[in-house]
Amino acid sequence: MPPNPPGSRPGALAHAFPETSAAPHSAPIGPLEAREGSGALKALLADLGSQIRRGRGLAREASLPLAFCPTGIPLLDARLGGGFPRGRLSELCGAPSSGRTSLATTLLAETLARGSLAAWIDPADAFDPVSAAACLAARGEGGKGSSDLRRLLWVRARSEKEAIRSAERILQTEGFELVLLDLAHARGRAPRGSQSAIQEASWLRLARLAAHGKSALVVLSNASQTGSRAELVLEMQRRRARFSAPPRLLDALEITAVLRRHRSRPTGQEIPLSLAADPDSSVDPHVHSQVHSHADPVHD
Amino acid sequence: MPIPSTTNKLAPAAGRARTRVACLLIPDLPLYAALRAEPELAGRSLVITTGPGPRAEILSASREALQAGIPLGQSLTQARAVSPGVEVRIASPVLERAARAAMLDVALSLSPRAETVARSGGLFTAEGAVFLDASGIAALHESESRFASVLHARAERAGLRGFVSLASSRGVARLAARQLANHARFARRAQEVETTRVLSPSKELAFLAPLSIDLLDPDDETADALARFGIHRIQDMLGLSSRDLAARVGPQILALIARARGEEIEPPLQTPRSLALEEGVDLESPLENLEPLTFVLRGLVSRLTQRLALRALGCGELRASLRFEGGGRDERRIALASPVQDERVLLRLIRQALESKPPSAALDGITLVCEGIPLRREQLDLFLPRGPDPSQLDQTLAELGSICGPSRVGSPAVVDDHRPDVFALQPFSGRVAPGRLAGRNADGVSSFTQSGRREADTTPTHTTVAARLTLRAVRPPARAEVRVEGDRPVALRSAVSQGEIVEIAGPWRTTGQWWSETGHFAVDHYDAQMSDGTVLRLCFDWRQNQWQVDGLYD
Repeated sequence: MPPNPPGSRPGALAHAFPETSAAPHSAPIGPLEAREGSGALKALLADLGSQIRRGRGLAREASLPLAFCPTGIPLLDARLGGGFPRGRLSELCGAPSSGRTSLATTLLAETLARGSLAAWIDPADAFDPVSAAACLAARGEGGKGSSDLRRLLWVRARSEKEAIRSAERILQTEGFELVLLDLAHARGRAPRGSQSAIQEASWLRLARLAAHGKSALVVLSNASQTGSRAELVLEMQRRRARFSAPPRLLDALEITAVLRRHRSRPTGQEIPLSLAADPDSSVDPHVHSQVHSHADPVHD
Repeated sequence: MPIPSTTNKLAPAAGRARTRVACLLIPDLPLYAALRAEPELAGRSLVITTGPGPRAEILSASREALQAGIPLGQSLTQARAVSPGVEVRIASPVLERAARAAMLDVALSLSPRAETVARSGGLFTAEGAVFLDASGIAALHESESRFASVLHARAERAGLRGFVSLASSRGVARLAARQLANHARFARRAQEVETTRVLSPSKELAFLAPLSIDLLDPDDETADALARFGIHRIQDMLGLSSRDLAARVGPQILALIARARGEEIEPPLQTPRSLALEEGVDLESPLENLEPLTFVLRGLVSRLTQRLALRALGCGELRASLRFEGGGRDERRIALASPVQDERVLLRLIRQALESKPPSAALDGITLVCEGIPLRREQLDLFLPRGPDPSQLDQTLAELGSICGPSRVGSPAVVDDHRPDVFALQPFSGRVAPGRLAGRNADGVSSFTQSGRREADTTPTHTTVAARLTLRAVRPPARAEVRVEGDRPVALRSAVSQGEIVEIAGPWRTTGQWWSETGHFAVDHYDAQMSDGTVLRLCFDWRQNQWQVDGLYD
């Protein structure tokens, strides 16, 4: 038996690769066959080496702490473990007026205010730049929300198929911290070719691309559709709209965020939130405590 | 016209010492135009003919064909008799035009001022030449010889093998290049061929003197007259009185004398304004399928991107002109969100454009025109999160523009306008406004978020937290049927929601541009909560006298 390479355990190679140490042919091995055998062994080792390296890389990636896109809402971020995870697929779902878009816009504003780039893929053509600029201005030092919008890439896709293709392309471009894919629809019925056309394979591909590009991919939808591919599913539920005393003004939207799915956090907890039309006047603990005690989920 | 009676002395012209002009000359442009399109023909016996058929004349021939004994000017039949295996291509004006433009691109990659020379006649029909301003170029390239070598090498990389000369005027530079080409034609070995020549101002006239007058490209009548008088060389002509020569040969000789002395009136070289690059091909047999067409397109795009790289440009818009067999054309326009120089991206975009709407007939020619745009060079910020690689971002934007349409991709911008749902879409650049992040820490996290997060760890679970309510636009606004009691809407039916209105606030009237017939707007907005819990923005358009839902609070 040939001596083991220096530094290796005696017999380690034979133990690890018994099929390579056993003679495959009954005929005696000539010089040519011996060369071919050693070449095959080298190829096998090289192949295994790359697999081992890849495995190590995966293990290292898995052990690395996740980076997050915080929403800037302290309670929600605490419940989510820091925010929406980067390199993962997350979903925000709920009925119309359940606060999906407001939460997504808050997340967007927080991301843009940090100087990062974000993309909003909008097959529903529902993104409102004025609302987003107001949200950014409220997050930033004031009054400059529209300039932060220059770091937002708005893709007004004409169909969900285009939206998926656009999302794939953007996720391939490393450097977008947040990619929002708005598949929610405001109208009574879903647009032609929507939702059902998005197959499981698409979500798998998007999740992999998000992991590759280290982007937080957040999908807005009416009902959860990403299945097991999502790291996090946050369901938004509407409770009631609050109007002020005369003159009647829409004051706030009371909603509840329910963590339906999370790989590492407890699920099922309800997080009450208030979406204020004018944040400066809405944070009134007295009113909120009163509202929270009401049982009626939709309206008075 | 009074004719100066002075004898033409071999004296340098005053005030010309500082101007330096380089000439890149390709004596067999049709040959190299064909080789650019079909590089696999390099090293083979190849002739370019003036047209189809056996009687077509040989316009240009490769070195291998010339060595096989095929002389220029013979018919194709004679050429085939001498060398039966010779490859034959018909001179293509499209390829030749692209080759001339490529020469100009090579010149512009080294000098800001350059221009191509109009096609000559007679002996120099197949010649292509470009002049470029080389004044002071030695300071950049160590010496003028070094510059000439660089120009020559760059032309070779673009598939254009020619001769380079530097002199004080265009005429002399061209003569020097022609002389190099003439010597090369009679050289026995390729190693003997001299390809660059730099003429210092003091040696120009000595160089010109022994040259043949034919190099000055005289018209036939003048050439015959000079030959009759036994004047064959430039020094013979310049040794005679201009007046006497003009009296015997004709006044056109004065222009020839000025050209020989480098005194021809030459307007300054221009900086070309057009950034449109064109590449095309005439197909030998019509193509019906996209797959073989892709091979043709790959060559065209490859040459285009090579030229774009020479000019440091990106493709801002691509126009594909498809010529159908039996007549008819189709134009495809592919607008790109940002300049692209990547061959694969451009090829993919053209393929997408052709696949989305396949040509209606077989193609027998295709031309690509690319509008060049200077490439963006931007330094990234040290204190900001790393964004995408600019070139990768450009490609992404280009592909997104192709997927969704270029007018549907960009950065949203708020417009100072009171009309409902007015916004602008700007080109996405990802730039950060200067000083925007002041007050944030080195991690790029705002102090608001940090303090908030610390607070969150100790906050009781049942605390309501405020965020801003956002409107979700309904585009185009959904028409609605509204039941009004008194002056208040009480019920609604629309595609967005339907049912009783349980809470409502408003109206808020917005009017403007009353002076404009088309731009006048007047709307009343309401915030309404429906019985199903939906909170929407209801709008009454006074101009159309119509209820609409134009937003949803979500």
